Amino acid sequence: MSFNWSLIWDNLPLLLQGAVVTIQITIMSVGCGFLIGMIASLANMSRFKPIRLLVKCYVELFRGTPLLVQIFMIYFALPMVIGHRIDPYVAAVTACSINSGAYVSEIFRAGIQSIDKGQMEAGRSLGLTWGQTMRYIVMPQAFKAIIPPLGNEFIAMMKDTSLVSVIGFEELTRRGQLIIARTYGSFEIWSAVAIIYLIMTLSISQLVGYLERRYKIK
Amino acid sequence: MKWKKGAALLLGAMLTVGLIAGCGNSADNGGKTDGKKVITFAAETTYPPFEYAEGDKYKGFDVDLSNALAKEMGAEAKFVSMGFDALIPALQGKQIDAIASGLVITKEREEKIAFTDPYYEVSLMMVVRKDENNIKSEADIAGKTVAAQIGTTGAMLAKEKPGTTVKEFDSIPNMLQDLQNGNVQIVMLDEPVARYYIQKMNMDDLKVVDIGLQHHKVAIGLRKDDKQLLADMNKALAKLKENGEYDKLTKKWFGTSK
Repeated sequence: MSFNWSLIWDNLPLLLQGAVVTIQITIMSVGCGFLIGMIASLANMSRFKPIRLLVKCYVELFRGTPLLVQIFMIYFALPMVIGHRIDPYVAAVTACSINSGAYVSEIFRAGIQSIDKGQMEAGRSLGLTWGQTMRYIVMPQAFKAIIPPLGNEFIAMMKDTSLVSVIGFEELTRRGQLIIARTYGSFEIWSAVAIIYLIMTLSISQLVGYLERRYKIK
Repeated sequence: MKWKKGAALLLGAMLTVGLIAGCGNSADNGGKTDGKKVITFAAETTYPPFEYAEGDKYKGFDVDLSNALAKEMGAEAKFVSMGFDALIPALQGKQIDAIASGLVITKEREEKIAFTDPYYEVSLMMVVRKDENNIKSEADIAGKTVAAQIGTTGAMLAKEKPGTTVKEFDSIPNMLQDLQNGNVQIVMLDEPVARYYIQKMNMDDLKVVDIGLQHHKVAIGLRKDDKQLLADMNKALAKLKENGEYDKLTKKWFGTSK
């Protein structure tokens, strides 16, 4: 079996366009997921039981079902309920964000819980409100602890976005699949796709490594 | 200590089950049962009446034809399901022996794989929403958002039209759903399959538009270097056409004897 390099070169622009789309959805999803996760983890500390229960249901539901199923539900099933079409980009980002949010909220919870209770107590006894203590004392310390798992989540999300290819969304994996459907060069194209993913995920781990070093020094 | 023992037992049990299941699989792939040669046919199985899944079984014209061909050759047919775009790579990679998936003979495909003599003819059609009255001919595909199955002749045709956005899907129900949801305006499908979905699946809000496109010849795809299998299968196919078995199958699945 011969390896056809020109197949990769000819299709590289198409693959790179797909990679840009992958980066876009990943950043959007991780960004929205970060906000959702932070809000959910704060809501989880609420005094009101129904709110805590709601957060727990959200986390369990979206962590306990496959992202693939969630994408299908949002793209194919939801429009039948609301009677209105959903744009594939919106469906893709929504599914990935909500899914990521469930994981991020758990990362936040673990981060906040890792900070000694005494910190909160000290803040409160100095006259700070719960919110102020959270914002100025607990969160900055928790943030350091959650950088590595957040980096993990970022990398995992980047690879998971390949699942949105099932709704015909042309990110990197789908581009590869489409090129193979035309050229039948599965060995060459999948190799190229894998290497592009690897370059992207390695860049993220470099970034996370930099952040870790930076915050440890301070 | 008690939980550790329990966990060890559970893990052991899981490993054992996994091993036994794994062995079962590899025995299947051995290639021979009762000394008979096994020919692995593959198809994308959301393509009725050619092939579809019902319960845990695959049914349809191609499934019956594969079985009949294998029987004629003194072999046994095994039918597996995979994505349409994966069929040709899987054949080249020797994961399967034959493609029986309503596969149309095209020039591009003939460069990669061998085809048996044709066994059916299909024509490409458009599926649109019932209230759509402005899409009537092939020329109307230009500038529209069109769904087609990945790697199919429908996708190839739509891509040639100017200004057309082509969305390629893995399975047919998904693209019909996308049409019903309003994300695309046209779905490209082969004739017997389009009619099957709309009639048998009660998709009342969709209709078929006949665009009078040329008939495409459907054949079984084989590896180019599998010359013996190609000769044997052509011989078996000719035999089935001769002895009336083939007519019986077309009547059963397409309602006509072509």
